[in-house]
Amino acid sequence: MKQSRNVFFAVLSLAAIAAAHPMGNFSINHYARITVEPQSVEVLYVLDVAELPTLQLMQKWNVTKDSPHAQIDAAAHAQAVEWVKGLRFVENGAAVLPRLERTEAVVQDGAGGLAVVRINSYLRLPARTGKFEYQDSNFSERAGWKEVVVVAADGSSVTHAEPAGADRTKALTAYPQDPTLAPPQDTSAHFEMTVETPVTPLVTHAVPSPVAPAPGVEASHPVATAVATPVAAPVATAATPLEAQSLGTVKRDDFLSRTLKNSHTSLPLGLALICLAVAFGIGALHAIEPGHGKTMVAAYLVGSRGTFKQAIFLGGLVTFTHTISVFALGLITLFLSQYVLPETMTKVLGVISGVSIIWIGALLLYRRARKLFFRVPVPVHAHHHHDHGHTHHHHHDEHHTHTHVHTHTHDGHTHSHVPEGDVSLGSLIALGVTGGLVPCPAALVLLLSCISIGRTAFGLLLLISFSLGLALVLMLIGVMVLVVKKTVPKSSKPSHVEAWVRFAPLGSAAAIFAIGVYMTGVAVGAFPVIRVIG
Amino acid sequence: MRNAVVHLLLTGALAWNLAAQGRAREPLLQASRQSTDSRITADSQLLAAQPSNNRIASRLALDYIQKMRETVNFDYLNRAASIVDDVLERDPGNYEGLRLRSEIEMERHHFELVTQYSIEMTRFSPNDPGAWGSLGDSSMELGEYARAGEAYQKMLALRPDLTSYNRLAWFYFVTGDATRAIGLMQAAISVGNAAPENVAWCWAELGRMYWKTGRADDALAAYHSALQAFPNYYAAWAGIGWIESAHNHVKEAIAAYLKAQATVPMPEYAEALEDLYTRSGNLGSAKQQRELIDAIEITMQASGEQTNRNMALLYANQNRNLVRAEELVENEIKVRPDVYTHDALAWVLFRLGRLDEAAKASEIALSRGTPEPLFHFHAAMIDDARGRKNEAAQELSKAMALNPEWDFEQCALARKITQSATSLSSSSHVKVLESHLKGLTE
Repeated sequence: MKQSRNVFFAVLSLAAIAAAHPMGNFSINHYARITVEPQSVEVLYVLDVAELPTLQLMQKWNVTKDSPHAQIDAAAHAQAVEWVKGLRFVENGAAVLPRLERTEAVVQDGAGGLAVVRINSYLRLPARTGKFEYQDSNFSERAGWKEVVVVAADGSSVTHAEPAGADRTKALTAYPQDPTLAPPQDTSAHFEMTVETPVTPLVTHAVPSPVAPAPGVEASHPVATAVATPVAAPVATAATPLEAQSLGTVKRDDFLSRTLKNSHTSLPLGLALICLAVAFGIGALHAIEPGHGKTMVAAYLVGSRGTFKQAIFLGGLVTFTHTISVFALGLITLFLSQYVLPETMTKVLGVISGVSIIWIGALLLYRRARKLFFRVPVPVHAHHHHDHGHTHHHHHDEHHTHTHVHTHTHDGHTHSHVPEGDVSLGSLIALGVTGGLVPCPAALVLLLSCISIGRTAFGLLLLISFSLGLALVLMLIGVMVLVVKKTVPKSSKPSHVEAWVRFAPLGSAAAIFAIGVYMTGVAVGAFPVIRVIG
Repeated sequence: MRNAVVHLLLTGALAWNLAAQGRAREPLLQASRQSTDSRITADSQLLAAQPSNNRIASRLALDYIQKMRETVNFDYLNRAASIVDDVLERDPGNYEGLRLRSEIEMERHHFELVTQYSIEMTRFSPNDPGAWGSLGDSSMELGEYARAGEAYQKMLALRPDLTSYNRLAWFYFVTGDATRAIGLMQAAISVGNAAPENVAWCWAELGRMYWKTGRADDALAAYHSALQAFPNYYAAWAGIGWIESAHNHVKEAIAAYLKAQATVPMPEYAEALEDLYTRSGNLGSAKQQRELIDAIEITMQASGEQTNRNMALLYANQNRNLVRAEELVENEIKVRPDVYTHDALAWVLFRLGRLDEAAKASEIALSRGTPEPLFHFHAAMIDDARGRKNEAAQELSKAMALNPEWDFEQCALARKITQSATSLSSSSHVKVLESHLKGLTE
């Protein structure tokens, strides 16, 4: 059916090929720069309109490109008021209406002497610390460059911005010409901002419609002829923002990534050692970030009769699995990168990991619930036929009421423990493997970055160093959990808290189960992303 | 108490973990939507990581071509061409690059070149359905229908999917078998495709086939299915506008065409809107649409475009810019001598009063039995102007038999001519025809 397509496309094809406008002669190009200032949010909203839609706009405005600037400017301002209605701003869940402070209309010659117009609209909103969302629904069907840039001014901060790219076009005045740099299609953004106490109250019900200057009256904001014509930027212009977004190159602009990316010659020993040290440090810091099995480790140790040895073993196993999975995924990625995204593979691993954790959580929940409520012995492998070599846990307290605090000693310490004994090598391995199965993107990025610049061996070394840092902290966390368990004094009124304490293991099992369900749900796209923090 | 403290810590850790999971997964969820945009983004990122990976580069080029199809923005084709050039520079024998080069040249209407490329590809890789599809495509445009049919049959045998079914459907439609064409297009849709726009395209084409063969309700249903498959699909809105216009539902037709125009300002949409606004008495808006057509012409001239049968047909319909129309269609016939270009040539020549040449071109346009009411209408007008009243009446009957309501104005004219053919003398009949044509186009 290509033939029919060609019938349809014929008219605009060659015209577009040689069009003056870099994005095609009927494109409408969007740009929003959202600047979070200490007491307000400024939005520069730019529409760069190519030849054909500019003609239609001018028809609507009843002007030509030769009309007086003031008349065009007034019409553009009135038009901007309409466009602002197509923008949606939400702060902490409440819609906020912006104030259109001023507009600039730049009319210039395009292909064949036709006009092109770029309209810059400056909006301001009150700012309040918290979540900020932006949506642009103007000309949603029309092709064009659609870019959103989020910036924090001095005295404010922005986190978790999406999209988070750099300014690629300088407000649509210089379009990158690198064909491999995909024209962004961002019409929405969201981020978290921290600002000073706002001085302007939030407006959530009515938009103050700016009054456009009357036609023929000199506008208070003259046409900004200083704004540059949209041009095709040299290829080099595209390089910087590309780096910031490239999978497998640099996701974070940290020292390690920059060093790896920039050092195309041989790596000096000193620099290599520094890189290894930095990798170790990053790994250690990385372990402090969420999502590395620490919750699993903690939950398990809390709910079980964990020992220091087991804590170290569990932390090490999580790290080992984590590292191996990065190696494996890195190798698989190299092979499959021509077919699927690493994210897709991560998704599959996420499902496997999630389902495994559900299974373990369900088993723990089942056993603990049965022991708590029915006081019956529950084997670890509850559904097995007992004709194989699995070791069953024999619960020494199976006839106890679980409000009773059974005591025994470890390393000279006497402590109470939750009424079960489910720490087996098998369960530790299962938990450690599943907890570390999903490779962290940062480690994968590190490895792929090295591979992409031809430093595979060094990448593996860095990954090992990274993993050692990770392991150290994970083990420390496990040990800390046990230390806290051992050192926090018993309540002087055990009867008052023991009822709660009785259910704690059940809660930790439920937590493991919930984590598994959530991980699986998110991996398959069934659950929405929950942002408890961040 | 100590367990309480530990569990408090655990709860905090759990919350932190959940938050982290959410942040980590969010980009993955977005990528999994697999829209053309997300594929472009993903492949662009992959290519940035492996700049000389030809397979990824080719895939990005293919994404761009698909995006071009969805938006008709040829900036994407230029990007694809640039990437493919790089691929072939690194590896001149890269088969995927060669295939994409052929596809790009196809979009640029270099049909002879595409034929050469395709023949080479079929020799090199005779089991590649894409190579046969490419050969069939260029052959169709060159009017080499036997070769096209053979190529498409081979493609279908190698890979019976949406892309092969819809090509063969198009072949049968052009060569006069509308029933089989519709059946094959339905098969293409039922097989489906991962790209929603490709499915929507087939729905829209099915709608056009239905409409040209007089099945208005089926056509409307097909267009609405296209809109379901790919929301706001411009081809579907244009099809709906066409039918509503033929039914003289002016308001609905304007609304539909404006939606199509919101995505792509095709000159034929502006032409239809000019007509509709004129019919509704809104001459100001009609004038604006005419200005838009003129602006498109300016951009074409600025780019040096010398071939364009659609624009030529438009000018012939509007009975203006006939010199430019002749230039556009005469150049096009050299590179794209299929039945559609011959029909456009016939209509332009008719307007220029070169009736014998017009008749020859029209004869070629009709030679394949293509079920296009417009072909027969044009033939009738040419016959009528040449004094061949019976032949004209026969052609109009054929057009009406295919679809008695294919176009509001043209059908009204056809009915009057058919009625007057038996009651008026030849000279007065020509005057009726000329007056109607004048009213139709000015």
